[in-house]
Amino acid sequence: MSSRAPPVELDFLGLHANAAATEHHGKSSAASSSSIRGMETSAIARIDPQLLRRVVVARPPVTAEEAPPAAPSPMTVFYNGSVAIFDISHQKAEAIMRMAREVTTAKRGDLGNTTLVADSAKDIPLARTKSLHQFLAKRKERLTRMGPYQLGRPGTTSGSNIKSLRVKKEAEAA
Amino acid sequence: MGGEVPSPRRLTRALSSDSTSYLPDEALHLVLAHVDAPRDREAASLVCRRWHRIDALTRKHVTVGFCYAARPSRLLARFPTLESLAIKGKPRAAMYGLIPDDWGAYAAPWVAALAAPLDCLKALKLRRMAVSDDDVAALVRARGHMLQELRLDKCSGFSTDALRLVARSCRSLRTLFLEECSITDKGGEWLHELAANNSLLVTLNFYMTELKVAPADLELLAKNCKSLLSLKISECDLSDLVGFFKAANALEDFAGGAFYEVGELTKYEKVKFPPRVCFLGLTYMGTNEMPVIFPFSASLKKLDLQYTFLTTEDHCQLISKCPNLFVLEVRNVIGDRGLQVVGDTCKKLRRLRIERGDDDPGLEEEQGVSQLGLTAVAVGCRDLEYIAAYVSDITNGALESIGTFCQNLYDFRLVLLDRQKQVTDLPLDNGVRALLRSCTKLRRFAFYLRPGGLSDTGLEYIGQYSGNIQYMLLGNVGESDLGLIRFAIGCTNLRKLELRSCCFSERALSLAVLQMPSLRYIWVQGYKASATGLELLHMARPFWNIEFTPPSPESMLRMAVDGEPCVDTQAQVLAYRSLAGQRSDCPDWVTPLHPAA
Repeated sequence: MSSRAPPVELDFLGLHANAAATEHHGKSSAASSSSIRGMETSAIARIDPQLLRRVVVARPPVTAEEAPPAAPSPMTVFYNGSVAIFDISHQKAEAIMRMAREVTTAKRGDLGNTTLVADSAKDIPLARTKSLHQFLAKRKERLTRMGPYQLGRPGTTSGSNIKSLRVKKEAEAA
Repeated sequence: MGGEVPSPRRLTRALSSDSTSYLPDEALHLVLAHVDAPRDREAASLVCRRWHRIDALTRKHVTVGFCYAARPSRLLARFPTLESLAIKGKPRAAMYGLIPDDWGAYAAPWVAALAAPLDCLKALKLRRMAVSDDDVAALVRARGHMLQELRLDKCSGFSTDALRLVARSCRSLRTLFLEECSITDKGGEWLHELAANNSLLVTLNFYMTELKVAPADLELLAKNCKSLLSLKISECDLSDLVGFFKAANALEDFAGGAFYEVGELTKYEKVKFPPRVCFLGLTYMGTNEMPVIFPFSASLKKLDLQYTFLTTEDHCQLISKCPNLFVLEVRNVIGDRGLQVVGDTCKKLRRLRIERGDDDPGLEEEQGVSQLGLTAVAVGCRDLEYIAAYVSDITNGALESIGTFCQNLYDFRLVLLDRQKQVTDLPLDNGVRALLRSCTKLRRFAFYLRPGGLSDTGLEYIGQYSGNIQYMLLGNVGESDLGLIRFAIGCTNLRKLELRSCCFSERALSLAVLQMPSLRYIWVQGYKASATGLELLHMARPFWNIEFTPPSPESMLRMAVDGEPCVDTQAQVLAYRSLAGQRSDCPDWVTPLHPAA
C-alpha cells in the first residue's frame, strides 16, 4: 500500500448509544472487571502488551497470492472511552474488523448462550488418553504397512488364510 | 453392648475427658486399630482432641488426594506409624495430554520428608507426579530396606537407572508398579537385576510403557519368584514368552506382550498360559490369534480387549465363552451386538469399560455403542458397580434402565461422542434424574455430552440428586450461569469437581464454589475465561488456593474486540483447599490469584 487508507471508524457494539449506561454499570459493580488495582483501564489496554504484540506481529495464515504486501499502517481503535493506536498490516486490520463485524451482527441477532455453547464444543474437542492414542496410531501404522490383503481383516475367512500360509511355508521348506 | 443405652452425660465422660475415665487410651487404641475405612477415620479424628491424637498414632494408611493440599513434613509428623502413603499429583486432564509437562507435582519434597524417622512405612504410591532418578535414589536411601510396595502410576521424569537402583537395594519388594509411566530406557539390565536379587516379588507391572526387556530375564524372574501372581509388561512377542509361562506356575494375571505376526497362528500355538490364569489382556490380538484364549475362557475373571484388533463378531464369539467375567474392558468396536452378548453371558460382571475407538469409520466395524447395548447390559448384569462408556447415541430411557437395574453402581461415567449428527433423545434431563435417584450408592459420576445435551433444569437435577457423590466430571452441560448455581446449591457432599467445555463465567464459577460446603478441589477448562481471572477472586478465602492459566493470545484479542470473555481452549482454573499455603513451584504460565494484602 503506497498511501494511507482513510481512517475507518467502527462502532463495535453500538456504544455511542449505550455509552452512558455502560460506564455507569462499569463503575457500580463491586469487583468490576474494568479496573485493576483501582485504576480504570480499557479492555485493550488490559491485554499484556507482549501478548498483543505477539498476535499483531505474528505471521498471518497462508493466504492466496492476491494478498497485498504487508506494509504496516496505523489503525486507531476507539473503545469504551479510550483510544489505542496500532501499527498493523492491512491484512491484520481486515481480520480484526471482520471479527468485530461478525460478533456485532451475531450479538444483534440475540445470541443468548446457545450459539456460544455450540462454538465451545467445536473449540474444545474431546481428548483421548495417551495410551489409547498410541495404540490407535500403531494400529494405523500396521494396517498401512501390511496393505489391503493382510490377514485377519473383516471379510476374510481365517481358515483359508492360515491354510494358504501353511502351503506357502511348505513350498518354502521344500 | 447389651443393656440400656448410657445417658449422654455418661457417654461423653467415657469417650472424651482424661485417661482415667471409663475408656482407657489402650482400649481406644485397640478399637481404632480396627477402623480402616478412610471416611470413618476422618470422622473419628474430628470427635475430640483425644480421639484426634489416638487416630494420629494408629493411622496406617493415608491418601493425599492432591499433593499441594498438605505440607509433607506436617503430614508425616502427624502420622508417625504410617505404613502406607499414596499421593496424587497433576489434574486428571494430564492423562489426556491437556497439562504441559512442567506443571509441577514434584515428588522431591515428599521424598525428602520421608527420610525423617518413619519406622513403619513400607508402601508408597505416587500418581501423576514428576519423579526424577534423584528422587528414587533418595527414597531408596531412606526406605529401601523396608520398601515392600512401590507404585509409580502415570509418572514421568525418571529412567531405568532408577529401576536398577530399586532392583539392587529393595530386597523386600513385593510390588513394583510402573503402569503408563514415561521412563527413559537406558537398557534392560534393571529387569535382570530384579530377577537376580529378588525372590519375594508378587506383582510386576510395566504395562503401557515403552521399555524393552529380554524374555530370558522374565523367565529368570519366574524361576526365582515363586509367588509371582501378576505380570503386566510392555510389548514383547508372545512366542518368546513360552519359557516364562512354563516357569510361572502361580501366575493369575497377565497383560501386554504382543502378537507381532498377525495370522501366523502356528507361531503362537506353543503359547500355553499357566493353569491359574484368570486375567488376560493381549496386545494386538486379532481374529486368528483369539483361539489362544479359548482353553481358559471359562475361568477368566478379567479380560482386557482395549488393545486388540478384534472385530465386533470376534467380541461376540469370545465373550459368549466367558460366563465368569467380573471385569471387562473393550473399545466401542464391541458394538450393541457385543453388549447384548455381555448382557446374556456375563451375569457376574462388576466392572465394564467401553473405550473410544478410532474416529475413522473405515477402521472400526460397527457404529459404536448406543442405548440398545447399554440397556442390554443393564438388564443382564445386575451386579455392575462400575460403568464407563463412550457412546455414539443415548436416550433418557436407557439411563432410566441403568438406574432401575444396576442398584449397586458406585461409579458411572458416560461420554457422548460427537461423531454422530443426530442423537435420538436430547436433552437427557429426565434420564439423569431417574438414574441418580435410583443409584443411591453412587460416589463418582461423569457426564460429558454435547451442546443441548442437558438443560439448566437437567443440571439442577444433577445437583439436587447428587446424594453422596464425591467426584464429578461434567462436560458440555447446562445452558447458562443460572444452571450452574442451581446445581451447586444441591451438591452438599461433592468434594472434587471437574468442568470442561461449559459456557459458565468466572463470576458464576466463584459463586458456585461458595455454595458447595464439601468442595475441596475444582478444575475447569473451556469456559468463558477473562484475561486476568479477576472475577475468580469472589471465591477467595483462607486455605483456598486459586491458580489461573490465562487464555491464548488469540482469545485475548477477541475479548478486546467483544468486550467480554469468550470460550478458550488454553485457559484453566484450578482451585483447592490447602494447608500448605500458595504453591512456590508454579511454572510461569500459571498465575496464582489472591486478594492484594
